[in-house]
Amino acid sequence: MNEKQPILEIKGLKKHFPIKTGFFNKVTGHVRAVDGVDFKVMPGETLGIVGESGCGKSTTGRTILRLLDPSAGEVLFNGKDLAKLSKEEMRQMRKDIQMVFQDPYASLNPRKTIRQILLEPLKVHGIGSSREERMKRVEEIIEVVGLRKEHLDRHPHDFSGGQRQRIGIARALILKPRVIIADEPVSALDVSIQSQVLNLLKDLKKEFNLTLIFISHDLSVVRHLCDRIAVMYLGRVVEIADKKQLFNNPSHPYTRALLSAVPIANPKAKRERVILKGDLPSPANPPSGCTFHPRCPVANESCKTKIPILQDIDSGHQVSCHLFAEGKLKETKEEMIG
Amino acid sequence: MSAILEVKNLKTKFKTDKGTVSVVDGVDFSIKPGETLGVVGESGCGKSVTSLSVMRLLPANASNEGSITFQGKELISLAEKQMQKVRGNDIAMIFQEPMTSLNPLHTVGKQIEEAIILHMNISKLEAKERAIKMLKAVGMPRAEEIYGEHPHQLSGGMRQRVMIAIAMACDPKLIIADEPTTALDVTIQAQILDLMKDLKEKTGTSIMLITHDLGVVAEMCDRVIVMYAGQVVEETDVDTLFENPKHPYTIGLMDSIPSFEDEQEYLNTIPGSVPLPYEMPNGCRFAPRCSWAKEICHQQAPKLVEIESQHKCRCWLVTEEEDAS
Amino acid sequence: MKTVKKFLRTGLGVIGALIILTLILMAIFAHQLAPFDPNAQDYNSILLPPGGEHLFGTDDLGRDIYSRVVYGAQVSIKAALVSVGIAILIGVPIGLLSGYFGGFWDEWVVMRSVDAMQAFPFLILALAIAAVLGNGFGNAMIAIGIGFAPAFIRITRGQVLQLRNMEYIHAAKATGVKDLRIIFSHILPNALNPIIIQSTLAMASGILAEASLSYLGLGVQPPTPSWGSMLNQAQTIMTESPYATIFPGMAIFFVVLGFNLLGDGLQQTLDPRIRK
Repeated sequence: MNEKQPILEIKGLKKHFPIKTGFFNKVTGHVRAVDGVDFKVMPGETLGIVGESGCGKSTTGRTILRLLDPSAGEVLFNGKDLAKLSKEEMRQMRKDIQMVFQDPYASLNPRKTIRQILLEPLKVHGIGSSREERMKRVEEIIEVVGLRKEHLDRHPHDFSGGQRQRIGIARALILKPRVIIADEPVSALDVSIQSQVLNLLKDLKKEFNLTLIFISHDLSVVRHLCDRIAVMYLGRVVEIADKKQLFNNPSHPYTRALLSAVPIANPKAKRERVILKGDLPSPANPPSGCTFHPRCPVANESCKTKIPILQDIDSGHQVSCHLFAEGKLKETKEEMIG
Repeated sequence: MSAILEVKNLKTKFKTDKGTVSVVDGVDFSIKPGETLGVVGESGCGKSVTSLSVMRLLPANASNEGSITFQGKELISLAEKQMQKVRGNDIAMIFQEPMTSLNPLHTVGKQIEEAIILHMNISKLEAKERAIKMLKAVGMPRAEEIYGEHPHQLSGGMRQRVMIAIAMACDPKLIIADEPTTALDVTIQAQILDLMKDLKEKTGTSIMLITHDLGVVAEMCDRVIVMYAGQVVEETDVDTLFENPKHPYTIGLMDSIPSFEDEQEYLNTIPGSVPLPYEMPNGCRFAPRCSWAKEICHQQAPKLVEIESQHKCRCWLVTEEEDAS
Repeated sequence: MKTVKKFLRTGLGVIGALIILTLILMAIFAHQLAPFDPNAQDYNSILLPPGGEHLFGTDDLGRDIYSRVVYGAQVSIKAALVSVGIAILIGVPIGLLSGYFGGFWDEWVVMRSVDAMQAFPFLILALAIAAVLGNGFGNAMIAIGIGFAPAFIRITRGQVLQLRNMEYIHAAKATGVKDLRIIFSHILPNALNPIIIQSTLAMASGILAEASLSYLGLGVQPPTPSWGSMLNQAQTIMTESPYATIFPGMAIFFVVLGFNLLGDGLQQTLDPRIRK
């Protein structure tokens, strides 16, 4: 048994946003954006986090990086709990764990040149012993992402969405981090540009030996890029498995619905669709018990009151569902399509 | 069966401070009654502008040339007052962003009624009844309650249902749906697509469905036109489009989507990017990005030609191949 | 160098700069430019129309209006620059820090103070402060500057509130950039536009405010000429000699125009999104 240590381990992570109302801004409730998330990421792995709006995947990413402070839980990076570090200690850690943002049009400061944008991380962390050295590094990284030295003196508005995203990736890479969290990095791009950027990410991952956390709502993209995938719903992880297991044997009722909902680019394909009733509940007012129960095609009485926990159903495959735990849910889909 | 909408050589130009720009440059297509036509393309291809041209909803600095006939009536030259009778009544539109397409200050019911009262000669009470009926028809739970609520109280999926209710309120012959599910979560998208298919079957209305998502096309459409840089580059029925695409852009588009079925190491890509409207290349507009481009492609612009029954393509390689065979 | 070139291409901005430059030179070289002592009274030449020795005519005390306008530039331009300068030095940093860090100090201390100050009519506020500080030009400028500061705090803070949620600010934090650097290197440059506009508006108000204060005895003391006070004093003789109001009025008009155009030009120059 050769157990490698996970590079990142998230335990019981919670992020609740207080809702303030009234003249004195009294706290009347909380938006439970992230409500108890657990997972491990092994070095060199690409972990996908998928889910729909309000599931908390973006908030999870930002909380891991301490762009938001966690309300509870641990974020263990190589054993060190990022959640407990001081502001200054966390600043030092940022060399090792970086982020690529979703919106290529908003994630670059419009008033700075690309050169300035890329130099800043180096200056902030005191990397490179001379200006020339830093310049060289900037020039290297811009070519690695497929742009040219001549582009360095332009401003973000001179570039297309795909190019800006490459710049964002260069900014994340220039510090040579161990982990990169990519928050919907291709969602705002056209399909033909998406594939360019995804191929780039794949190459960079190999070249820089990165561990990648890839947050997305697009299942086909996640399937292409990721080794393991976590499915989130209303702030919790409902299923986590490696790629083959998840797509061949989706177990949680939500995962099954999600997978079946993706339109298939093949008019002749058979569609066994699980249509969920109702809408996504608000994270400010989640349902009791298993938060999925109001929309679940196979929920029973206990689902309304008991909160399920992630349990192993197979090696590396965990599901958070009572019916599974109790062995009541059949492996087939018929029960759900009904 | 004669077409309900026929667009011939449509050109839409915008006056900008860089001169007059042709965003739609010679587009032809037709839609039969009860048919769903998919309009596929990426941003900048002109698909949205085409739909706005049909509805005559373009801004002041835009102008149209060509012919758009709806049930035999020419729309481009129609007086505005006459066009208002057509909009919402015979041709209805569903927009992409349910957040901003509904008036936040009016109740949902009032917005549905607005179309009804405008086009149908019925009493206020009857209009209200019909509005509630429409809400039920689009699968809205608690229709009577929702009737009195405001858009911000509803979720994205519910708002899109309201938009569909408004569109269908006057039994239109044609619905133009511009990326109706792009802004929705995938499970909600599945609900809405299901609803649209259902309504289509019940009412026999034609749909012009604009989207960049080939999965949606495969599910919803009978025939498809593929647009690139303001022109139609391929037109055919949906089965042929997926089984036997001919235009290099269509092929590239299909290839660059990560397939749900097979494993790929790298995604195929289309290098480069869409040319800007005022920087259109000579010759075929796709040639700079096409891996099969030949000399003639860079010099002369190909025409949209019927290469087999009900399958048109705008490409020198394809027409030459046909000539050869 | 590129920035200077870009500014030169802004057309109107250059005109604005030239106007201001002219007026500043006029102020510096007043002694050389004015043919008469601005305070010299000549009862033989009262209320003369423009012409001959007196380019702009004379006022009701026989003083040469042209000379007074030229010397008046000194006071008025100083008033504009100093008061707005003080307002910016006080208002912008407070707005930046308050907007960025938020919390109790922002909500209850800064904003309520700003509300309180803005509840007073501007002149009354400036008067009160000037009265506390005492007579004299310098104190009047400080009073006006403090009176303008709330507007700058509000505008700067408003920009910060909007900008601090921009993705590129999150990206800077994710990179490890310290707060102070984020404020001054990332947020401030993007917040400049409304601050510049507010400055040009404030320049104009500053000149007029100085006039009011002087008129009330709290700023420049007569007979020292300032355009604003010239306007005030000439009100009574407007029917007999409109020139005493026209020329100082035009001078104010040009300064205000100049600052506005300069402000526009600066905005265009500093925004990288506007192509050359």
